[in-house]
Amino acid sequence: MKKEKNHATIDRREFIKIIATAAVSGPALLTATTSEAKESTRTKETIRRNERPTMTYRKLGRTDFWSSRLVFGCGAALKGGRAVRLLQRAFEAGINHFDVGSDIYYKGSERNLAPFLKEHRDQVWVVSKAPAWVQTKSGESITLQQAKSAAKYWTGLMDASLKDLQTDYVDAYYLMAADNPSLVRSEEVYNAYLKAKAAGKVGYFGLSTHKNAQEVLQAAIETGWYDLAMIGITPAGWYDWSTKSLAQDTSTLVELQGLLQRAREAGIGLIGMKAVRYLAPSWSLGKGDPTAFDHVYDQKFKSASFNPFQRAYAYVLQHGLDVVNADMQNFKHLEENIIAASTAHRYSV
Amino acid sequence: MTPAGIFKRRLSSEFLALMVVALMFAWSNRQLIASQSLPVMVAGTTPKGWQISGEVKQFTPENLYEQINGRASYFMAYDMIRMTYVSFVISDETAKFINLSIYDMGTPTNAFGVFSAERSQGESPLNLGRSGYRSDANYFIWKGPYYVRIICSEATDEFQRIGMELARKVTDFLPDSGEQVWGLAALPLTDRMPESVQYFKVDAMGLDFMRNTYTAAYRKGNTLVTAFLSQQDTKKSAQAIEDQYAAYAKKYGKGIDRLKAGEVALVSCDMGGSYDVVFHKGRLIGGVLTVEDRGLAIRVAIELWQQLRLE
Repeated sequence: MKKEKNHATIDRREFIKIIATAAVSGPALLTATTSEAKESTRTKETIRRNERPTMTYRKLGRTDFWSSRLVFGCGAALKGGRAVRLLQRAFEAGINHFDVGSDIYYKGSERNLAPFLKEHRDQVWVVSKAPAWVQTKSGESITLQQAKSAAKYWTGLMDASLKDLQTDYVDAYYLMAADNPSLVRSEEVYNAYLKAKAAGKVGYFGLSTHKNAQEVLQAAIETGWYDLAMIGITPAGWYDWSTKSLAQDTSTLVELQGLLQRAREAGIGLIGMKAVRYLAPSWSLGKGDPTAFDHVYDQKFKSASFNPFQRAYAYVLQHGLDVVNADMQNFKHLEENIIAASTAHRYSV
Repeated sequence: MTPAGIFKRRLSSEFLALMVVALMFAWSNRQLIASQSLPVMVAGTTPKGWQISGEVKQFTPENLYEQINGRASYFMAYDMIRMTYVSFVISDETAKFINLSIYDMGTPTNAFGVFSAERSQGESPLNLGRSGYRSDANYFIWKGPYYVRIICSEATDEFQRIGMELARKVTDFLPDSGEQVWGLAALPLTDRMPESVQYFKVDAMGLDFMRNTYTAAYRKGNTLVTAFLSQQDTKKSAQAIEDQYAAYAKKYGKGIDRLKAGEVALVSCDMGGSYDVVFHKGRLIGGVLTVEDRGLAIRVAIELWQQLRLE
């Protein structure tokens, strides 16, 4: 927490100056300026990687990993290798958490992340994920046979992920698109994770969903199995991909604080995703209304010199989410999101 | 102009207008026929001993996310028109499945874009459609405006065989007008690595100003060099893109040099450990990316410039 306080003393102009200087001067300057801070915060109990003054960090649940508050979402960005150049810039800005997904879903992205990992594997936290293919609707219970098949399928995809990432270990692996609480409670899938962990393939267990997230998170809390949960959430509440909109009758993020707090108390690190998709243009599956969340912002956030996307990211970071995963496909968005994540703490509630 | 000349000119413009209408009708009709008949045709490809899980579904840009959620924006960035999807299963109790997705991307260029950006090097090539490959028991095929994905739950020989049979059937009934993809012809063939061309409609190389960009790998001695090429509307906009590239290199690299080699004007960008070399030629903007040897980068960029034909 000491580092966050230090950041609070840097004003926006100074911060932008640091970012600009870092971009021009490259990693050497950043390494030099951060070595002192790194040493002062290193303990045996924590996992600290690639921390830099241009980013803020938060401990992720019971993992003991201090994650950059901005997570680089590699899935879509690295398809075809389109945004691989952003990885180094993200690294230089202090992003230490890279989230990707199975080849079955984000074809080629894991392979395109592999060269970067080869260079920085010990300095970053890598998460991948895969779905467990089950033919049921969100509210239906899965059968034992379906759970067994799902676990086997998920394990196979995890092995393929390791191969594509050219590594023998990922820091966490998620049950992806886990919108069915019955699947989340499946001992078969959890045992598959435990087996992979025992084999040294994976560190922590997580899930990701942007549908039925409230029930899924409650199920995850009840099981006590999940270390991480990546959930579709916005300043105005749950985001639901099945309607490409806010979940029906959703509580606002402020009203969801109790649930998020329970998740944190259960040791679950909370990663927000799809925080700004609702604001995006329609070709990017949004509603094209950048003002859509304005009604939930207090004066402090309203007056912040953010664009609507930065404001939404900063808001979720200051309202219960430990970190936020952003799909960044060009330098412009990366720079904007770095500023949002690293200055969000100034608007504390 | 004589009355005969006026008549001839009028006839010719009327003929042209008629042709345009006929072509538009034929085009929309092709889309209509394809859209309406695909579910039926897809249902007819059900492998023996398998059944369709639920029904054949079709998705438009408005609801594609329902099927492939996070990946939908990828296809929409390439202006996807319609996706036809079916899942074949043996029974509901197993995780054995074969999922078939047919993306109608509207044009061969867009279909090539999604196909090429997902393509992995070193996979087994297929003699299907305009291009295709197999990865384990999964099949990926580009034919005309269509991109076909067949995903099998297992990589066994049996799944491979069924997947291949399905790939053949589907490729057979999908139409292809034969319309060319500009970048495949425009990027020089000399030293070009097979199947290495990719097309990015937006954000090529992570740069928001690089649109409609093709990249390809070239073998230069022992080194693989990635080249890129994009065609702008005007010479002025090509120059503007070059300037934006230089500004990007100044911000994220270690500076730029403007070089002249005969009539070739280049911008050499020191990206810190590697070099990008960029140029514009008429409406074209091109160059090479991330080459460790600056001399090689400049040489390959000049070769590329010389081989590019202005239209």
